[in-house]
Amino acid sequence: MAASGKHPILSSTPLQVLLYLNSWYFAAFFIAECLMFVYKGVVLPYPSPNLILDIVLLLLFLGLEILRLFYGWKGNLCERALAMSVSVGVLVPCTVLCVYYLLLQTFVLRMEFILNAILLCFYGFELILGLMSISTFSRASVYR
Amino acid sequence: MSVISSLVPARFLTLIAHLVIVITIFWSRENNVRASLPLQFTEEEYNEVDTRLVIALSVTLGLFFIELAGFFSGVSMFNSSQGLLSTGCHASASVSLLFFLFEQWTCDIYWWIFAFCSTGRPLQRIYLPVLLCVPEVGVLDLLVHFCLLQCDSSPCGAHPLHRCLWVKEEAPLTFRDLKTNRQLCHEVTTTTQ
Repeated sequence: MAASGKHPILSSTPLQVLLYLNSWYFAAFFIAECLMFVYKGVVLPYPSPNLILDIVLLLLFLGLEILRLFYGWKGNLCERALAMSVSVGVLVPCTVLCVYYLLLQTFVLRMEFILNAILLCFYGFELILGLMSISTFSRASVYR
Repeated sequence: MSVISSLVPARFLTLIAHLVIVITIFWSRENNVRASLPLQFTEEEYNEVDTRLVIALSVTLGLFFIELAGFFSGVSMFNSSQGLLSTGCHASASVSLLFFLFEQWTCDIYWWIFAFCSTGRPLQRIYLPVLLCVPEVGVLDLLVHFCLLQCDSSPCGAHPLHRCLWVKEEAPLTFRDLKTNRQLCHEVTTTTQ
């Protein structure tokens, strides 16, 4: 595309790298969280409703994260502002869930704290780069 | 490009695992410091050993930043031998540090793990001809791993200090605690009935 000289590539490479690594990191995070919930459920005195709430929220987290990563990936590669803004929009409930698992859970393990903190770092960088790429894509489409 | 598709995420995940374990050790270093001291120790001795461990962990974190910078900048993405060595080093460091954390090894052992697994990495990033000693470092790594896996559950024998210091409220991740907790719960239910 850049060879033709007319269409410069607008997709953000750092954002793509972050999304790629984030998908791998979240897969490992999800497996680790499942195992930690098994451990917590066996060892710690959990009231049943709290455990069910945490597990349901984890599944919701998985769904939202897959949605966000997919829209971010495709939106960045196809240079579409709408898909990128959906991704940034879904980032908000994902951040809320991340903070929940970081601070507001019934029992927070140290490992969970660290893993969620790293995930929050990912979200911070992806938010900044996502907003920058949305502005790049929408500015370019005005002149097309 | 199978090299990129499988080596880059493997390297990233082992790097993050090593980082998470180093931060966990930073947070719960008290047991390791106590394992390095005799049964009767003074406040100054504790602070001295604690400071040494904090310095070791801080240097490790500093080297991590260099490693992460090299990784994210993509300088070494197409150098598969370097990526493989990085993955190997971080994986063996993660396993060794897991043992260090759970078996409450003394703080001197941390310097050995650090020397074998952390110093070679950022040096490679900065000075590529060091790659010539790749097989050497790999052999050393294997030796350390084998040697470490051959250790008993505790190098000091079943030190009574280790057992009484195992605080239940920390929610540590061992099967020892699972068994003791289940026994405790069983005792509680039988006494209440």
